[in-house]
Amino acid sequence: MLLDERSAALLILLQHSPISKMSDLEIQTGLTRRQIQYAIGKANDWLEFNSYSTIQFNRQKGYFLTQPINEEALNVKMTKNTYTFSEKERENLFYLMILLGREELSVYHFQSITGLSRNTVLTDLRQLKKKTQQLDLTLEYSKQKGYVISGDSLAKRYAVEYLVSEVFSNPNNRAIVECLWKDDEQQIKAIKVQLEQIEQKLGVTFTDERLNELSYLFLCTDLLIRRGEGLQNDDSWNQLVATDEYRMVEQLAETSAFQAHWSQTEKQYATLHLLSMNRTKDLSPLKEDETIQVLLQQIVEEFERLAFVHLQDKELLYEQLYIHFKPAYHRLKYGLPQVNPITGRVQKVYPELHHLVRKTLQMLERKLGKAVPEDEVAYFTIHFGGWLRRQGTALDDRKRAIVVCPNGVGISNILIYTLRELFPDILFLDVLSVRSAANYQLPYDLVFSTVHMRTDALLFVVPPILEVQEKHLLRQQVMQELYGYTTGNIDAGSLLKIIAKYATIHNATELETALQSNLYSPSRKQTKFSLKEAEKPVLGELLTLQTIQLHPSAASWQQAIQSAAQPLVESGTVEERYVEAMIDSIEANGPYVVITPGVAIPHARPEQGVNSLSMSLLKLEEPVEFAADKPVQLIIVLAASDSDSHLRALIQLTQLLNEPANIKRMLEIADKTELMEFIHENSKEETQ
Amino acid sequence: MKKIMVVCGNGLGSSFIMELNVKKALKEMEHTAEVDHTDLTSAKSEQADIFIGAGDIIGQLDDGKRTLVSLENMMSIPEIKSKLEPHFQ
Repeated sequence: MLLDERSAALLILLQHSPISKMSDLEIQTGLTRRQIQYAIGKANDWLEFNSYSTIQFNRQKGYFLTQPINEEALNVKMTKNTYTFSEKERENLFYLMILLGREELSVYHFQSITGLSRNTVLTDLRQLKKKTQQLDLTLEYSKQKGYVISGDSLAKRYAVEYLVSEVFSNPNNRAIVECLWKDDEQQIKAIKVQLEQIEQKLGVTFTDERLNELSYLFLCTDLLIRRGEGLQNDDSWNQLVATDEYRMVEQLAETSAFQAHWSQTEKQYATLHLLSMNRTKDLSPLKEDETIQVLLQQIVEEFERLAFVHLQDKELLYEQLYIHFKPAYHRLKYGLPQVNPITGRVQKVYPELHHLVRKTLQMLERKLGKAVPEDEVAYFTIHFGGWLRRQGTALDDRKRAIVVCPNGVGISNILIYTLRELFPDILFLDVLSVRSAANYQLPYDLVFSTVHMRTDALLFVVPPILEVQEKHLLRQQVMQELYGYTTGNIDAGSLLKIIAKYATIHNATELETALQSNLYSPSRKQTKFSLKEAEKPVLGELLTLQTIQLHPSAASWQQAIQSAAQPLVESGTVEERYVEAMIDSIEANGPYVVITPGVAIPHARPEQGVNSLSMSLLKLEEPVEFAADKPVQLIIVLAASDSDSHLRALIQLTQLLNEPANIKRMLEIADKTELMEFIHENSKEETQ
Repeated sequence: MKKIMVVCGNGLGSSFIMELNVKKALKEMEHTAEVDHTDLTSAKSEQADIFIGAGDIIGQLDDGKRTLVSLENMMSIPEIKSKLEPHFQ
């Protein structure tokens, strides 16, 4: 009777939480409903086979066990004989077995451990071969030596570290540990005793998991040194010699806990691990303390700035974060791998918070000159998330917004600062260009944009710099839309009083009803809002030096449209497919876009690849034929984001093109700036 | 009142420009009419007294019953005027 990893994990989970609804289980295991139901089925088979009563279910409690399963019994039963390794576990297991190379290994070894067929094991080994290549290591087989991994010692050390970390981040690791280190119990015990003494001397308390993990890592290191896989001297580690930790390691290396001779480099390596180990308590002073304290403060400030939250009890927060950050700092600085078993779940449950924390840590990346891995980001996310929850600020409930501002960094900064100040209750995720907004991955409810863009979210078009009046208006619009009310606090009753004071009311009841229905009318089903000043752009805003081009000629009308649209594709206001769509439309319907001799206005539909409202103009010295008798010299690409925001510019364009003299003049002008100025001057009229 | 429907391929750009020009032409001619614009596909199911648009578009609407006005130059107010005038006699 075999129990697989999922079912075993599920049983341990149920054992520890008396009430487990399906939704809790989904969150806790990261599995889907179906996967859980399948695992429950398997676990029940196993329970029945071992004469336990099966998992029960009722509406109030969810899934539960009626009868405690002896933890020991559960663990013992999950040793290698009854345990089915997952593919991932087999990979880790085989990888470590070969790296540690304590005996000659053949396919039979792997078969007997896992109880799987020769073919499955061979497939696993092929997979492993690919995996080893990621670190420039090579998995080889020979009749004399069996399976071996050859390559750089440092790479092997890195692989062992990572694998040990992976093995111990899985709570259900008993079977693997037993396979790998069954005969080392004595040495492990000895190392643990030594490490506990070091804890006392240093005044720190490591987390249990990490202490356990480190014991095994040191054991593996000892094994590797004995096999001649020692490390080369690394100068960047030399400063570690001055630490207390190094002194401790020197003493440790002399004890009988280790069998190999540890060189200075190896002792530095061990020191690094002591420094980078997660701890639950830390009273030890450290040389680099000040650097770490300063960095930490900057991280917290950056987070507060980006998330626009105020963290309370800073002293306590710093204390807690310091314990986490000190080892993390060393891990990051020296590039030590650290597996965070719940990274995936953190990303899933707190996508926004995680995103903001990642952004916060960009500052740390710059200072350290090192990338911060996702696993480390997730740790910070947990810390900040925990703190926010503690003070009752949940980011999840807040409306999420992105800001689209193609106007450059300076302006973007002013805009987002203003918006954050105006809407402290909205979570601003990012300031984006039009292009990146179109490909944005996180969900959001609102878009504040300086350009008219296409989006399914609520769109508020704003000028990059808001005046007091506009701020007020914007706030009203947003509030009305989000919560269905405005902040004016107007009610029909008080209005009635004001009216009664200055006018004669003939029918008070009717008037009140009318006022009521007017004031509290359900919000319009509108998804786009603009401030008056940011309303429909004029031609002058769209046709600029960036979007006007002068070319000598074009090979074909298709080519001419492509060239004309190039500035828009480059700035990301339209996608490549919009250009295709414009060409397709003409091929399907004929050259109707040639609106007057010499001038074409190619365009397609907003949903065919427009990201934001834009226009561009291409003037050709040599006319290109859109059809047999339709030569064109001015190509004006129109990219509308909806059915109305482009109309103001279009009216102005009509005004300009109504005058044949204007077209004639535009064809004469050979200078781009001059052409732009001419267009602007002759498109100001707005009578319609 | 007559209803004039301006037609273009996509119903966004050139039809709007034409609509402006048709209104302008009507004003100069001192005629009144209801002017609207639409794309080619919707135009096929719309009712109107006059359909007006670029030659290559408007030809596709010809079912023998509709009144069609085909324009060479959509920006030319004189052309629009001369082609619409006969329908207001």
